Amino acid sequence: MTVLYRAQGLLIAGRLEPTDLRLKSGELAILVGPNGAGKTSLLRAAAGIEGDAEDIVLAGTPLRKVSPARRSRLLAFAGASRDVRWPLRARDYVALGLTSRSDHDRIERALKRFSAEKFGSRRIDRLSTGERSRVMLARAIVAEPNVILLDEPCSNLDPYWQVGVVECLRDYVRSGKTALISVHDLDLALAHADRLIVMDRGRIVSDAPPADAGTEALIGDVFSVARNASGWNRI
Amino acid sequence: MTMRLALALILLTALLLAASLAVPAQGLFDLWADDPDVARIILVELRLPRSLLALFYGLVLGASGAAIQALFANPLASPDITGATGSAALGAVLFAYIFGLASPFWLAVGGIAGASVGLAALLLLAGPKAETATLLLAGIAISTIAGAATALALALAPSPFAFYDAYEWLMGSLIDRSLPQLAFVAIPAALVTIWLALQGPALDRLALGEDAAEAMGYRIVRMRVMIIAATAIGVGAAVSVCGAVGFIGLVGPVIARRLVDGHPGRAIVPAAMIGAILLLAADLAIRAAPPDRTIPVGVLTAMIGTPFFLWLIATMRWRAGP
Repeated sequence: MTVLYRAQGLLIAGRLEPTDLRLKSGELAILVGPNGAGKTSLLRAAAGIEGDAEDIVLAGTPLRKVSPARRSRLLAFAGASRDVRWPLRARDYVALGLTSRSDHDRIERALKRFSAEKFGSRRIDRLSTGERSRVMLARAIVAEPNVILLDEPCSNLDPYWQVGVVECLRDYVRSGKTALISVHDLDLALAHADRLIVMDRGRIVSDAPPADAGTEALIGDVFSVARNASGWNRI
Repeated sequence: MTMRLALALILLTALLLAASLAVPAQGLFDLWADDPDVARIILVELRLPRSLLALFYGLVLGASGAAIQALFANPLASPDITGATGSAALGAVLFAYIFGLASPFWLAVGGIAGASVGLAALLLLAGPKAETATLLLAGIAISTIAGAATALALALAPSPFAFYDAYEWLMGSLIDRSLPQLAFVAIPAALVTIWLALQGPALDRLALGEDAAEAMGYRIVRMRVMIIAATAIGVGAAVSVCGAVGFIGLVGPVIARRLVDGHPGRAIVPAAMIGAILLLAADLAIRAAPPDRTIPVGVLTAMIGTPFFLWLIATMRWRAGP
């Protein structure tokens, strides 16, 4: 497995302690942690949006030196917000993820991945929040980047699509890509992650396959919850 | 923008420009027969600056309006509503009447400085992702202060004719400007319009949200400062020569976005052309006024633009409503 993403010293003062991150091809890494643990900060710093990084390297090239045209094929980021600023058609919104002018096939492929092609011609501000989420995910994936960083891609989705999105992303990374996503549903994370990254107070406290011994106990510690017959409960 | 749309807009602009030079035609033809020299002077020194001022001022208002709307993610932003034109007028008036620097160059510097201060104040007051209400209130506050300060500057001006002189200038007029004055509008306007058009792809990506655009490699903070500076240069210089012409910068982009499937960045070029078309048309329309009266073109654009502005607010409210 080749390393597609390598960052050293990701840092946002007050929110994210210096953190190193490597993402390998074929791997779906899921980020969990309590509110305020620094998941969004890590994703934003990893995408080069905020904070300092000694070094972010994408496919052998420092991120700062990658032009927008090349960057769209190397890295994509989508935040947790579902706000839209302009009433664009869903298909046009997805097309903005490409830096070259409209590549029709890619746009349709991205929409189809999230079964969003049926509302591709509708205005994005008139879609339901869940439908809009799927269009936004299609936008993130449309250039087929090596690395995708998604903040809460499953929020606002019904149970079918919460699993659906994670499975889509697994499918996507199997073709030699990689993804880091934050998720709140612990069962979803445990069931689907190749790597489970647990954050607490601005630091990564664990980074291991979810099946590893001790993972559940650690999660219980960090979240102050425990699993019993009825699911996760507060302790 | 499709080829057909571009051609239609270019054709319409050219037609209005030709009409603006030719109308009223009869007197010019008669004069041409009698005294070609006088006719040429009328054409080159009176009508040509006026027509080209309308063209370039309209271009830069449309392009700046579209860029500011894209930047603030708000269809109600425009150079006049944000207070940029009002502050540009204040800057030019301060330079002319208080500092005594009334050459076209210093007036342009004053206009640009004023517009820069106004837009910077707006960014500080309303923030980069302004809610409509915040944006409008901040714009009203800046316009009001600029208007009051302009009146104060004129009242304190050493020249007793300051109010009278400034009236025709600040109300937005294209008449009786010289060729050098035209250059102070046309050159910044052309450069700014071209530069803003080149920012179109980045401004379209901004529709995905700042984080997504930043992650795509567009430097949003730098872009915001540069666009505000460019707008201030284009609009500030134009206001220093022609005064404030309202609503073109609001209406042009709104129409333009309808022609490009709502893309805020792609709308910049058509918005510039529609701005030019609207201002040329407005200037043609005021020639229908009685010959002994001149109506400032800014008055006409405001009278037509205000109902449009109200309609825009109303439709936004209805859409946002339950």
